Amino acid sequence: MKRTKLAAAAASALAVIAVLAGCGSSPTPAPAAAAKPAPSSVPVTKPFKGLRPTSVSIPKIGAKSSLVSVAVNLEGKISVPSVKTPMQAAWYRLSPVPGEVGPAVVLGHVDGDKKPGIFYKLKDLVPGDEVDIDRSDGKKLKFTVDHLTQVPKDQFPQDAVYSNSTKPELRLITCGGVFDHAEHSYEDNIVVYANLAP
Amino acid sequence: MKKPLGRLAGAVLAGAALTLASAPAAFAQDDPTTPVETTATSESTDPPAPATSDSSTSETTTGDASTPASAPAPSTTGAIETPAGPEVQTTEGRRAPAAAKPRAAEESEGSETDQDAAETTDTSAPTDSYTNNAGHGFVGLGGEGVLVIACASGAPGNVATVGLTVTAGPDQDGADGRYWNYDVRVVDGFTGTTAPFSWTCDGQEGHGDVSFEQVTPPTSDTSETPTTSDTTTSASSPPGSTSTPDTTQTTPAPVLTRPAVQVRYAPQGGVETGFGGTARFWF
Repeated sequence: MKRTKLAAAAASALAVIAVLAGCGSSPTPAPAAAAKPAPSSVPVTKPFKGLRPTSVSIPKIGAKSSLVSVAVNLEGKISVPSVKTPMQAAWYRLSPVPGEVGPAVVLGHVDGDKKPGIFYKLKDLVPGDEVDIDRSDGKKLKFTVDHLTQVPKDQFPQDAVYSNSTKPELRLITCGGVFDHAEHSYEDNIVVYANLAP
Repeated sequence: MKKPLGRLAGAVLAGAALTLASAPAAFAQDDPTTPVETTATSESTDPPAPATSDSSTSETTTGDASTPASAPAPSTTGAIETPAGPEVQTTEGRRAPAAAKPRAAEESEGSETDQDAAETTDTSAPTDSYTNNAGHGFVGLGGEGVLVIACASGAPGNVATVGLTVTAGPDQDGADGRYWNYDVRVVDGFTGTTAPFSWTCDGQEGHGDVSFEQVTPPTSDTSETPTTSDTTTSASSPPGSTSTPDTTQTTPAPVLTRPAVQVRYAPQGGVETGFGGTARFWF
């Protein structure tokens, strides 16, 4: 009799543990997706082939990635690499090619798919840090960090990021701040401003 | 015989008690009201394997956890801690009071803050809201922009526009091959603030609109004369195209001086570059 009670208590305790562990770590199943006839992904066989940056490297934080060229989505926001490939960085191809006069925009995930992303440590950059960009024409460019900001996404500094400049500049953008679980999104953006090294 | 079973039950109960005790802190980790500080405890997580062959190695060297003098002094015991204060239980969607989240406008010095890549809570990826055979165009202040067409079956055909010239494309978006881009430029004299365009995707005709970033007219010309002649330009319609937007555009026509912009289209709002919920920042 006593043995039965002990076994029951142990089972209850195990159940409690299982529930608690599940709260924090198990993936929440995505909301049931509506039936979508279109495939969820299509290989990119005809990417942008104009002059473009091909890779970014930030030695200070050990970040190195090829660069895909992205534009905007149907909502007019910058298209970003899949959350399932958080180590992939991208160049916003409606911005100047790095090395040309103007603010070239490169973006990368801070994380995704529950893993750190290519710009996970972007916030650790300080003025003077080096950012290297390779281009499709073989040029290798070196930028140096000028400053860094963290801003709420709903107060994104359009002018500071996208306005004309008088020299070749670089913007590195990722997410930061508090993670909004309901929106599956961080509330802020981290923006690193860098200048082409002489 | 009873003793081993009793010991087992005791151990399990003790484990449950420990879990209960630690759970609230773990759940509250991502709330900014509790400046959780990890102090050189974790060498972070292993760098995730890159999903593409050449997007590699971002090593996350979280090792050095030097806390600046100005940072709130946490009590450190080598593990994640919550300082004394109101206990906060973070649940999904809960937001911190705005005052509790300081944000530096400008950060010229590296603010050494830790992030703990190990913690994840509810971080399921956003759902795919893809709609096939949909499109939208965006033209910036300088008169250049892009048409975006969702066509999972391949490159769209028969693209026809009003007031725009297609200058390049189609190119697949590097982030999602289902989206196709055409570079466009406003034709001289076109003064509309929106314009229709059309295409075919897998044999199906599609229609969309182009949004224009607005240029503030240089002068306030009050004598608005609606233009009746619209610059209906079927831009880059391939031979045999039958799909031409049938819209007639009637807009006031001040002479627009388009500025030379370096970013052809400035996207609105922030950039969505994080879905994992693994990073924490305090500035």
